[in-house]
Amino acid sequence: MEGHTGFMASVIHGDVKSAKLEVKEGIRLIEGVLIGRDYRDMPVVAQRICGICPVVHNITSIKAIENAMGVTVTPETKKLRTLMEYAQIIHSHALHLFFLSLADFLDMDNDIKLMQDYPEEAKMAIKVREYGMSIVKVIGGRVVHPLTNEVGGFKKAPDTEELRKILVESDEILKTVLKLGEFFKTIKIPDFSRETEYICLGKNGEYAVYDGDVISSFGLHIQTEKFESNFLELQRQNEIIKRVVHKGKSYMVGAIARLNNSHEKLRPEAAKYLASLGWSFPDYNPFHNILSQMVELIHFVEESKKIISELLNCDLSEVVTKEYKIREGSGSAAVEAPRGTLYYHVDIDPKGYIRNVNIITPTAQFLSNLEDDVAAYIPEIINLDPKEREKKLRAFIRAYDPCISCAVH
Amino acid sequence: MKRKKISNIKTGTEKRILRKKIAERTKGKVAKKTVKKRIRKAESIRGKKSLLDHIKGGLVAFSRKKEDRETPEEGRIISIADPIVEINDPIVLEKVAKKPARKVPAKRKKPAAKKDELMNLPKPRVAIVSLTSCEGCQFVLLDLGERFFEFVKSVDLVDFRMVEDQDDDNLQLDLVLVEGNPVTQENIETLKRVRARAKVLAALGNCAAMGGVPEIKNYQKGKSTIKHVYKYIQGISNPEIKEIDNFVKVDFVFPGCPIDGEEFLKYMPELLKGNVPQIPDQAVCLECRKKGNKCLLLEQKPCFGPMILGGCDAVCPTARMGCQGCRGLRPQGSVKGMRATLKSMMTDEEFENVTEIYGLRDDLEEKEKKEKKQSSN
Repeated sequence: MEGHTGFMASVIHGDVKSAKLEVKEGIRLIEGVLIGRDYRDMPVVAQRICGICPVVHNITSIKAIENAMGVTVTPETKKLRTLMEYAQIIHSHALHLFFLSLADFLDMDNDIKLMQDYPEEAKMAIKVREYGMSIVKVIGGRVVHPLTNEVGGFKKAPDTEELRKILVESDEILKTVLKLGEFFKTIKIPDFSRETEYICLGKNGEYAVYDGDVISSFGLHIQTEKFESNFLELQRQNEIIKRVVHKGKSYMVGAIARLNNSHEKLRPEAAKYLASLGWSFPDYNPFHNILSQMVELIHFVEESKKIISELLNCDLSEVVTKEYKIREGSGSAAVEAPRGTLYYHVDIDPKGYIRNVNIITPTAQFLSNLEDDVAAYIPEIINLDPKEREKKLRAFIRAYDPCISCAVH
Repeated sequence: MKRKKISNIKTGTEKRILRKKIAERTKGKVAKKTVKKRIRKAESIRGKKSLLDHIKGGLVAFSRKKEDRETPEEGRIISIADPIVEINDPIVLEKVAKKPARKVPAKRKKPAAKKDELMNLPKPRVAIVSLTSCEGCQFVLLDLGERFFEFVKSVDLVDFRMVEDQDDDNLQLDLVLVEGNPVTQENIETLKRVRARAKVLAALGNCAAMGGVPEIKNYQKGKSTIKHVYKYIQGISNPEIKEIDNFVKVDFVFPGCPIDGEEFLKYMPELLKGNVPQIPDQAVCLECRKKGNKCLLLEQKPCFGPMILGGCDAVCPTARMGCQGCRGLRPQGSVKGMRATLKSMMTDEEFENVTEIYGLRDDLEEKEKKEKKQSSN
């Protein structure tokens, strides 16, 4: 898992009084340090919230600033950013699926052993991960904390030769993810279910990632700007993660939420794979988040192929930043991160200095849901021996794929 | 044999001196006076000239190619695990040269180790410790893919928290890599604990080495940063951000935000042997030019390349992003010169703001003081 956490659940007479995630990470106050700084520092600093998903922090902060200052970007820029985000999800999912989560279901205590026992699958997972990383590198200049994306566009257009190479590779990668998908079908997923609200971005005609409105499985449909007025960020005393609730209740974001809300918009191979799993929607098994990531992995590999061919057919010099005016304003933006909807809000003064920032990360949003789920799950495992119980709990938490670095920031 | 003599260094004082020396050396800032003092002190401890003998012996025993010795910045190696010290620093070399020459063989032939003997050697024990951070430096390692797993196979990896959940035992560690800021009390304790067990400790990236982006809050007025983030600030530990060398001795730094994977692989073999490599004192510009990039400064775009330690393959300027100094100042770089160059591109305030991003500002102020002193002398 990303970040430091421990889990406390006090169980008295089989009755779950409280299940609480305890965070051991220190605070970095990224929102605080941004205040008073030049707007151009924001993507640079904010993406350093997370070493696994810097791309989405980079894109979302830039979009929020653009919205605040009224800067418009070309369709080519949007496409290139979308591709970068797809690639981000691909390499993050590949990592989580195989290296951070699988060991729990194969009854192993470490992932190095996993690599020894499943060398073929490990190679496949690394190959897919590297495909995602190579896209980020070609567009962003490097994988961890990319460099080229900025307010108004890109500092530099990607090398078309490199993009073409990736396009050629994509067919092979699609075959690989499908094979990996077959392997994941064989793992035993515990049966557990609890109804919850699924929230993600939604857009007509596409599986929304780069933009869209905020939608929910319970019928909510609002514009991104209304996010803060609909969702409540709470800080409990002595706690460094601010939890988020919708109408006073916990909710879920991420792969399983996106799949529940937008599964009919998947690309063909991903849809075929999903059908073969035989789920009926709404699906409320949180362990299914893992297989949902697998479905998305196939979908985003297909999408990446499509979008690269489109990009190769347009004038890529259009992505290079054009002049714009620094203006006072407030703006917000949301993008689908690997773990769910990432939301940014920023106020900028007339000189381009940041007055206020709010960042709401996916993990902060689903943390309460995780605790509610665990509280419901504990009675099912209460009679196991302590070691076994701990293992099950750990598997449960890891299925959520929490990122504590993001949650605390 | 010199070697035997050297390994006899056992008194606490000598060890302490060695350690101090090494720490100063790795930081790259040691005053002539201090060197003199240390050598004099060393001489008085263990009979006459004994440490100097060790140094000389070390020079010979450890000497590789002659060229290496003549270009100190290329391959200065100080051994910690084995108390043979090779010091290529011109100041010390001069000192050594002035002493009456002793007959020493020019080259000490190492007996060729048999392959299976090597295979039976215990693997070096390595721990990667992550304090409060984005964990990006660990991901750079993981992103090396199969090459990283090859590395993992060659060592005994302890407590790599991200992929392993095993509790580690309390054994000695050959090398500890530390990522992140010591923010919580627990972070600080972990850091001290691993230091006590480690032969060599290396900082992994900008946060550990220079404070990273969280250090920005140290420069903010009124220290009210936390109030922008939290409503209830009671019970939240919010210390000033301090680099890890404020708490423990740091032998080597992998610089950068994040670190460079290739550079990691380059220096790892030496570190695993217990040696401390030295990154050549070259500007970012050197690699930038090699890549055929157009100089950003010539286009009036701010870039700190000339005063910053290279080795990153000029990844930022190659992406047309000006260098903001995440790898830290290089010893020979001139801050004064850099300021003069940037005068037409940014105000002093803007310059200082940018130097805050990667915790460069405090180092810069220190260096400027030194530069001023030097010019007034």
